[in-house]
Amino acid sequence: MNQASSELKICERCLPSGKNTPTLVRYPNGRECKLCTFPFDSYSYTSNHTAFHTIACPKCAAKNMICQVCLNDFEHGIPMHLRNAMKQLVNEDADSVIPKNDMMKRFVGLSSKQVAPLDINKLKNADSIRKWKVRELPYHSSINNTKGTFFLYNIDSTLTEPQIVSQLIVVTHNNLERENVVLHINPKFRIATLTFKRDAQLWAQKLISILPKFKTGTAVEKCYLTLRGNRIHLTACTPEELDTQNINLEEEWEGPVKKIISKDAQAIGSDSIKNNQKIKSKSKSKSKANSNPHTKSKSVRGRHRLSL
Amino acid sequence: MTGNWRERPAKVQIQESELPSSVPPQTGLTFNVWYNKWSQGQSGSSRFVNPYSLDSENDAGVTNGDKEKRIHFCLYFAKGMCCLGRKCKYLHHIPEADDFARLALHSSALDCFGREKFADYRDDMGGVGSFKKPNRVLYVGGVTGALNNKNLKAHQIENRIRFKFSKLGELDSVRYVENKNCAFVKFKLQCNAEFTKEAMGNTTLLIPTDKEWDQRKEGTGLLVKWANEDPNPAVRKRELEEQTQETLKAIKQLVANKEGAASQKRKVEHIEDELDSQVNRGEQRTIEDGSILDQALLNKLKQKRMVISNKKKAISVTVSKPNPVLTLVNQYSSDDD
Repeated sequence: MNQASSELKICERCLPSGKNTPTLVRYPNGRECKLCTFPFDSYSYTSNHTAFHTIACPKCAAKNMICQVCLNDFEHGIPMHLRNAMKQLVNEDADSVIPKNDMMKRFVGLSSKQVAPLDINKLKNADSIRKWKVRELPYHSSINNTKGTFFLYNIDSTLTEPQIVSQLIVVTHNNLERENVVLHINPKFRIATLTFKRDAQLWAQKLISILPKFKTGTAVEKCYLTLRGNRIHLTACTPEELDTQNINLEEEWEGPVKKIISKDAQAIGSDSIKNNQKIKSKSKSKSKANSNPHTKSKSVRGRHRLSL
Repeated sequence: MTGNWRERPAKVQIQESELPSSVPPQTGLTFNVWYNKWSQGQSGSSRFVNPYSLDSENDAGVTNGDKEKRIHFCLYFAKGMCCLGRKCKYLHHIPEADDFARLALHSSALDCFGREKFADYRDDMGGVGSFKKPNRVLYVGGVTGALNNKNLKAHQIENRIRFKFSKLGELDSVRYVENKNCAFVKFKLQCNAEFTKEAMGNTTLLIPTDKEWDQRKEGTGLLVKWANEDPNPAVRKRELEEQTQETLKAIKQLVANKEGAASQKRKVEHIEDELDSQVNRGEQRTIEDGSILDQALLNKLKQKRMVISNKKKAISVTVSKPNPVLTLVNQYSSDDD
C-alpha cells in the first residue's frame, strides 16, 4: 500500500501552482478505478476552492500515461481520445480502447501493456504523413501550373512503368534519357507521379509543348499521352509531395474519378472536332469516333508535328 | 432584462422556502429512504414535469463563482431552481467557448457541473455520460408527453424543439424523426450538450399561448438522453472528416505549444547563462574594485537565480514525490478496523 501511494501520478496542471501546499487526504481502498474497476488508495485535496480526487488507480494511470485526477495525457494535457486520434493520423498503432465488459476491464487492468508516448517530431509532419484521400488528388489542376512534377491518371492496369517511360522517350524523339525519369505508379488507383531528376522545369515545359492538349472548363488545360490505345491524362501535381503509394482506400472512389475521365474524353472529342474543322482534312464522322482514341490521337499528333 | 450577463448579478430563481420537498411525489405505498423512491403498489409513471425552468436570458448573471474563478456550472441553475442567486459558488450562465476551453483543460473526466463521468454510458443512455469519446448529440424523446398529447405538425414540433434548445447553446443541427416521434439535437460544444441535458430534461414543450399551458404539469416532460452514434455511413464519413480536421488543428496547436515551451526554456537557460556571466563579471569587478555596490547587485542576482531554481525544484518534487511535501492525513476505512 505504501508502495502504491508513492506512485501517485498527478500532472502539473491539476496541482496548485501557488506556494500553499494542499492537504492530501488518503482513503485506503477508497474508490473504484474508472478504467479497471479495481479498488485503489484514493487521494483528495482542494485547490482554488475545487475538490480534486484521484479517480484512476496509479497502475492504470502509469500504463496509459494519464493523470490520475483529470485522465488527460500526463505530458501534454490532452484527452485520451484526442491522443488516440493523433496517433492514428500519423499511422501509429492506436491505444487499446477501454473494454465495455467489467471482467474484460479487469483483465486489461492486470495486464502491463504500456501505451506508447506521443511522438512530437512525427506529429510535426502530420500533414505529409497522413494518408491522401482520393478527392484530394489533383484531378482538376491545370497542366500549366506545374513546377516540374506531373500527375498521371487513367493509366490502364496492364501498363507497367517501363512501358510508359519508353513511350515518353518516343514522344520526345529520344531526347529524354531513361535515367532522368522518375515515375511512381499506383496500379490500384491507376495514377502515377512523374518527375525528372535533372532540369525538371525545362523538361516539364518541353513535354507540355509536345503533348496534345485539351481544355476542361475555362482555365483548366490538361495533356494526354496515348499508349496502346489508352489515353493517359496528365495534369500538374499541385501538392508536389504527393505520395502515390500512401492513399487512403475509400469506398466509391471510382465513381467520381470515372466522371472526371469521361468529361475529359468529351473535352478531347470536342477539341479534336474543332481542330479538324480548322484543318478541314478529315471528315467529321471519323473524328467523332471517340471509341477509337488511337486513330484520332494519331491525327492530332500529326497536326502537332505540322505545327512544329 | 436581457443583455450581457457579465454586467449584472445573477437572479435568485426561487426562494428557499419555495424549494420542493426532496421526497418525490407519491407513486407507491412505502417510501424507501435509501433509494429516495416510493416502492410497492402500482408504480405509475414516476416521471413528472419540472415545475421550474431555466429562463436563460433573464436568470444568467455574475455569481461568487465567477469571482473565485470557478469553472463548473450550477446544476440547480440549469434546472431553474437555484435559491442562492449571486451568492452561488457555481456559475450561472450558458456555457460559452472559453468556458469549454477551461473545462477541457481542467479534466476530461468531469462534466460541466463537475460531476464525474464514467467509462461507459448507462444502459438507458441517461446520466452523466462517458469520458471515452466526446458526445455533442442529445436524443430528445417523450415529445407527446411534453406536449400533453396536443396534436401538432412535424415542422411545428421541430421548430419548438429548435427554439427551446437554441437558447441553451449554439446548435449544429436539429433532426426530428417524424415516425419515431423523437429528435436529435447536435450542439457545437460538448459542454452545451451536458448543460442542456439537465436543463431540458423533464420540461414541457408547451408555450404560454397554448390552451394546455395551465395543465402543463400534468404531462410527463421531455426525455433527454445521450444519443448513440449515427449509423448513417454518409454522416459517419463527414464526422470522421471533421474529427480529422480537428485533430490536425489540435496537433498544430500542440506542436506550437511545445515549440513555444522549448523556446521559453531556451530563454530561461539563456537568462541563466547571462546571470552567470554577469555574476562572474560582478565577482571580477569586486575583486578589481572592491566596491560594496557590486556586492549588492550580486546578491540580487543570486536571489533571482534561487527563485528560478526553487521553482523548478518545487515542481519536480510535487510531481514525483508528493508525500514529503504535502501533509498526509489518513482516513481509515472500516476495512482497516
